[in-house]
Amino acid sequence: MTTCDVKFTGFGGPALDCHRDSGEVVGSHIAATAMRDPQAARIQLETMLAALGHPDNRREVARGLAQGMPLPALVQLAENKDGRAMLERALAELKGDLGDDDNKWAADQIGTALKTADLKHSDEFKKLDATSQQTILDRLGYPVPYAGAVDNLIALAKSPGFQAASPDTRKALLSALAEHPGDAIFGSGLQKLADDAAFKRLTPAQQAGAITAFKEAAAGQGYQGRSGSVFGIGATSPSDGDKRQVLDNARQVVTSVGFNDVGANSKRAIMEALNEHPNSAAFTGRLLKLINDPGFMALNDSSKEPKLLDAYSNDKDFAKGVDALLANGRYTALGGADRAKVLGDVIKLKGTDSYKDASAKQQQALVEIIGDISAQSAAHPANTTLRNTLDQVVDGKTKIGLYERDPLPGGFINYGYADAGVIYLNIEARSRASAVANNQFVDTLVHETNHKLNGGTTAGTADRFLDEYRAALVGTEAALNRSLTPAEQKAALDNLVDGTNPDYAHLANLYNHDAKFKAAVDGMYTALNGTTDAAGTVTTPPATVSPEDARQRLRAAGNDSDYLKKAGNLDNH
Amino acid sequence: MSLAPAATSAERRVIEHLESAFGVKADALQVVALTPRDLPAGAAEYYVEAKGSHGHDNYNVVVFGDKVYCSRVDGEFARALREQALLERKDLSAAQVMRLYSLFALPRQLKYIDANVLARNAQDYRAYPQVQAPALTQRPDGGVTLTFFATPVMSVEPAKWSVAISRSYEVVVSSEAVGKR
Repeated sequence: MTTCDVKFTGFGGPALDCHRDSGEVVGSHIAATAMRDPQAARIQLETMLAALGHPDNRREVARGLAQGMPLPALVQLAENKDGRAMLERALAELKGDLGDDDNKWAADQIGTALKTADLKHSDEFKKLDATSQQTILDRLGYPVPYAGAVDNLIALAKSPGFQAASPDTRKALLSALAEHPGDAIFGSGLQKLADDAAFKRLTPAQQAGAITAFKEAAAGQGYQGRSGSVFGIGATSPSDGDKRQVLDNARQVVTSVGFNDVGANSKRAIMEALNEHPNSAAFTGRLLKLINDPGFMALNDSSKEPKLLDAYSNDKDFAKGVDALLANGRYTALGGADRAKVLGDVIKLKGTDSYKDASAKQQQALVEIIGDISAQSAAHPANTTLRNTLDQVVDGKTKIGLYERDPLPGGFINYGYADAGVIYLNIEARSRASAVANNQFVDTLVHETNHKLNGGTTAGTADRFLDEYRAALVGTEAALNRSLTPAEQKAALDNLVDGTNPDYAHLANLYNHDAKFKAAVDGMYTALNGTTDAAGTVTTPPATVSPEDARQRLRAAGNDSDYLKKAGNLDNH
Repeated sequence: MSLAPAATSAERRVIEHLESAFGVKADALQVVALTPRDLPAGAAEYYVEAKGSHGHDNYNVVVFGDKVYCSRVDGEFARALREQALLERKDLSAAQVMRLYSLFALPRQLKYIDANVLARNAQDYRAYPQVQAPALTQRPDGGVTLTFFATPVMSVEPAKWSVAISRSYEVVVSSEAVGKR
């Protein structure tokens, strides 16, 4: 201080002697004056700085000023015209060397004071409720604030979403920001969340939940990165772009109708699902489609919802199947409660050996096929056979296998078959397209399940005839969702015994060469055709012949076996 | 191969053929000998299915002497006609050619309409007067043309099929939908 010879003894403050004291002491003395008389302090500061030739000396004084006043006092000073001018002058000096930590600290203190004073006098701040105002000022007054945190807080306080929020929501937003105080990306994300139209439509409680979930998304590895194992293997460091995407995805999810429709467990499961693919906009879009689906929202099951979400996020083949199901016309035609039944079925399906033993491609197809059949079942609750058949599958009692077999020469398509207790469905592309177009998977699944439940038979016997007649009727009725007419039953009977279907050449052979069998079948024909008299007048109208009726007719005509003695399973229970 | 001792030599030949052609195991098959129906003289007919498949995994087999012909093999219809020189036979009937075509070549979703079907279901076909039982006509080259009508298994939607068999046993097939009267 050898170059300084300025002395102040007036203004009621401590005597200043820059030749005697260090710059910081001088600055603190000016601060003491400023708390009583800002105008005098301003004159002291400007005079002192003008007298100091070296910038470092001037910065010492400026530092002393910041060190000599607590932040609230600095703010108060910044609200005064002279006080503000001296703080701006001091700040300008400090900015000449922010590489010095002490200068930086002092500049932040003064900067915070100026910004806080600006905020307090802004229209945005004045419109806030008193509690929010106080909370903001308290947070701005924390010891050792730093510029990024202050800017973040002020930006949030002035943002349209924050302004529009309720006091409780403002409190939640401020708390969330306090966990990432200097993170500008998080701060910006929080502002977008508060200003999101969907967020604004939520109730205050839902908004609080959304903010909590949003904050937790920013605490996850997708946003924070991970350190990896020894030598940093597996470490990740998300780019700013990735971080913004993580928050954008989280914002869409936590403001969605579906997210806010479910309970805490399911909310957590949704966020865990998102956390598996945190920066994927595509996955987020698909997840939103799922959780906003009326079926998901109607599940109302704190066990099924997490299971579905866990499978959806961790099993991409299951997820692809569910995506296809959500777009399936039969599914989308259903209301929420019925869609929920379908989703319940595919959740159960995932736990079966049918699913576990399938290849990746087959797993997706299995979800699509069983989901489609389940949608049909939900649309036709009176179709007990179809429901029972589905239960057999999703409860794991009947195993489904999938295979691919090209259409045979002549275009013959094998839709499926049963072997060793397993029902196989053909998912070769052309065969599957035909099966879907003609609802053949329902027919095949019900038909083959009926065979399985009724036990094995031998080709070329009355047992096999009954087995085939019953399975044909049960399968076709399930696929058509109605009872068959006598004419349709006759077509089924023709198919078995008239000899024009090579698959049943053995039954046609039986019909043509076994008198007892022929008698029973001819009796069925008589019932199905009805009778007319010589004048062409109908004397007995056509009547249906149920499988049970067919069994009785076979026995009455003298056909007998242990198989024929048992009443059959007609609805796949 | 572990075929039951009671199996005839023809049945053993059928089994051996299926083992060779499809890689199936003899003990997984059930063979049913049928009374040949509408097949050329000398033919034996069998129905074979994989056990436990409830008939879905099946084979229709026709045996002429030491020759075995089987469904699910492309070109089997023409091979049977050619190897058995069936065009040489004066007694070859439309019903016989129809049956062979049905066993070996007609898509299984379809059933052909024969005289019996027309008689039993006259009402169904009243709107389709052009539907007739299978017919065989001579071709100028010495071959024949089989004309028949077929319909899906569970509905009445007949289509007209023509199977032209040249003297050199080349087979050309065409079909067209039939409108209602």
